[in-house]
Amino acid sequence: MRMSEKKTLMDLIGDIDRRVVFGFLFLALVGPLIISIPLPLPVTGFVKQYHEFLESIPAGAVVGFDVELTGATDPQLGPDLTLVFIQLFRRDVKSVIWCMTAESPVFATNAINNALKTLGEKGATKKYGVDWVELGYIAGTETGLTALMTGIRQVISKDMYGKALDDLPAMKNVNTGKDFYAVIWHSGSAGSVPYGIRQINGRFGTPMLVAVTSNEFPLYVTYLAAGQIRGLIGGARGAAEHETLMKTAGLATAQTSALALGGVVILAMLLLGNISYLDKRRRQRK
Amino acid sequence: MIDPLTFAGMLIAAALTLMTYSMLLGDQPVAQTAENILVGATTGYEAWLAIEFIQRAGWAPVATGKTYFVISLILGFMMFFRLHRSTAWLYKYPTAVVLGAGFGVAMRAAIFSQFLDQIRGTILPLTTPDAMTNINNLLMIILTVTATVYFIFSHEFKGPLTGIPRLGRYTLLAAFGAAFGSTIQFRYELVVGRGLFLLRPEIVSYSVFFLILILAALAIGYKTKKITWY
Amino acid sequence: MSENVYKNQLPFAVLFIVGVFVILTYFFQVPPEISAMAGDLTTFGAVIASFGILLGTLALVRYHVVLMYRKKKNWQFSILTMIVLAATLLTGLIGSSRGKDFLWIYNYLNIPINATLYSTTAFFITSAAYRTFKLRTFDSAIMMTVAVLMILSWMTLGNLAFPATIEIGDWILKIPNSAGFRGMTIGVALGLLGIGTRAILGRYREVLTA
Repeated sequence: MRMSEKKTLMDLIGDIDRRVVFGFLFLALVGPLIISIPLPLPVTGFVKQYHEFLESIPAGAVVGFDVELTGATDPQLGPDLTLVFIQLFRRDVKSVIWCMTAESPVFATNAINNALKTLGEKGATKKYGVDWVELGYIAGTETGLTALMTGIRQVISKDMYGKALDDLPAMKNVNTGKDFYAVIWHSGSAGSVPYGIRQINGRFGTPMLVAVTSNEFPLYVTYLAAGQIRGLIGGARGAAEHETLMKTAGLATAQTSALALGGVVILAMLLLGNISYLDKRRRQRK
Repeated sequence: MIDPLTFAGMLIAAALTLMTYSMLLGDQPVAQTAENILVGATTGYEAWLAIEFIQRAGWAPVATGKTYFVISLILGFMMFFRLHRSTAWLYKYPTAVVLGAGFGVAMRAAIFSQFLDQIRGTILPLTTPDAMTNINNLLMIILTVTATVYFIFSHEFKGPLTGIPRLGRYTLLAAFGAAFGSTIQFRYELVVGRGLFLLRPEIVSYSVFFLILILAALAIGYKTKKITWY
Repeated sequence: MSENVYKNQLPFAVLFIVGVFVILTYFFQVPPEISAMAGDLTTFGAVIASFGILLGTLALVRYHVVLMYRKKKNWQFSILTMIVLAATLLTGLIGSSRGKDFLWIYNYLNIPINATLYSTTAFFITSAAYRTFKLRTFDSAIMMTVAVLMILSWMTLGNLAFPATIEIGDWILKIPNSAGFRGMTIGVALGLLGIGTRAILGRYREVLTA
């Protein structure tokens, strides 16, 4: 047998079949959902800032609310969306909700219904048209948003349910981006935050609060640092921290143990891959 | 108590989820079935919502007296001429309106939010009472400037000046490293989300049954070479 | 009028007029009627974009019909695609986008497959990182160090084992990450202004290639 054909332990470590990697990862991510492993969850400054801004919105104010969740991103940010509606309804803040993606109106409605159910008696006092309005899907991404913020009634005269906007008390004195106390932007993973900032905060100076998936979070910290947005949270971890601040343990918190084990798997894979590579390089230099 | 239609839907969703995950074992008809259902369902969904939006924002204004909105509908219909080579040039007119409006709104706002506000955000105080804040602010200024300078490809930096784009490159690499870490987190959250669905008490036993069924079908298909496996 | 004028030059003229009009009405004080016209133009853009979605749908239908007619490879899947597409449109037509049946298809066909397909990238990215993310150079060492610190900062086990990772993660996001993406944001803005100007002035012919 030639020396070059003999595979060392290091070679084997660096050449694990990808289906084995898939299997380990699947077990790490799904296992803790079956056998719950509660872990303490520290709250970061980002989430505190987000939460405090929501708590500072005065009663009776009207906020704009863009929801862009999809089936894929709802498990991560859906819990936070429900929490935000709970905070808004609890504080008697009114919201006007629209969606820049076609799939999202369903998730917005679900989150509102969940929030009202959680609030119990207080939720039962909230009325559609008075405490919230759903405008539905607005096509055209940035162009559509620009038109909407320039004049809501120029784009649509009726809400998602076919009710005339002028008949809805929450829409009184609300027609442009300037008329909102703040705009909450639940982007999911749509990449829409830059144009949202351009057309709302950039044009009208309206404060914005943003929730995105974890992959987009690093991209938008720069807008937070520049003061263009007042709060930013990312992904299920951010949603779980928000649940901790709100003293509820919901769906987002349940995911953090699974994510922790997933983190162990990726770190182990990086370590094994690099150990094997460095060993191979050392042998080649010899 | 879940109604029968919802329960049936949840079972179908569980089966389709596991069929889609079977693509991790290779591209085969089980995974392809799920993909093709997705294409049909997504296209139908988006198309119907587009029709409703056209009715709300394009036709409704015409019906209430703003007759000039019919121009948007005419331009919209001109898009369909794209489908035939001899009439495809007509598609350029509505595209020109969309692009003109799109570039116009993006450019006029980008100057402020992506340029001036970002520069304004970089001008930070260096003489605050807190030393750590001063250091962080100085770092922020230096790293932002060097990262921006890195994108100047029309000028060659020589001698000691090569350090500037190099520091910019290291800053960008640090940003990409942070983005990589966050992307991993995001992707794992997606899997956990699907896991939560499959493990719902109402359907968990069916999920296990579908998993065994799909794996058995794939194993038989693979052994007997009856399915094309890529 | 020669063919070149109405097929090539006039569309660019339309692009120029609309683009300049939308920009100028933002920066100059104009009568309310002119400002409303600019607003209407952006609404036109949104309506036309919706027609674009319908164009895509027709192109997809044409593609699958040709596949089925010519019985090309995997043509049987095209039947499935067309049935689901037709069923979705029919339920929307009968009950609207808030109808029970339309939402049933969306909730139990669209969402599960879409979400699962998106989530499979987790497996591929892990396998790819294992095989390709190596400490080959100083550059890759920087990237990997920051990535590992970020992963430790978001996993609760990492926070337990190394409590400093929370502060480090926050610092990385606020300083080097923010600086890097700010540089990119400014670069992208300059690029957008450059490309936008070229397109509006008709120097970027590719935007209107049919």
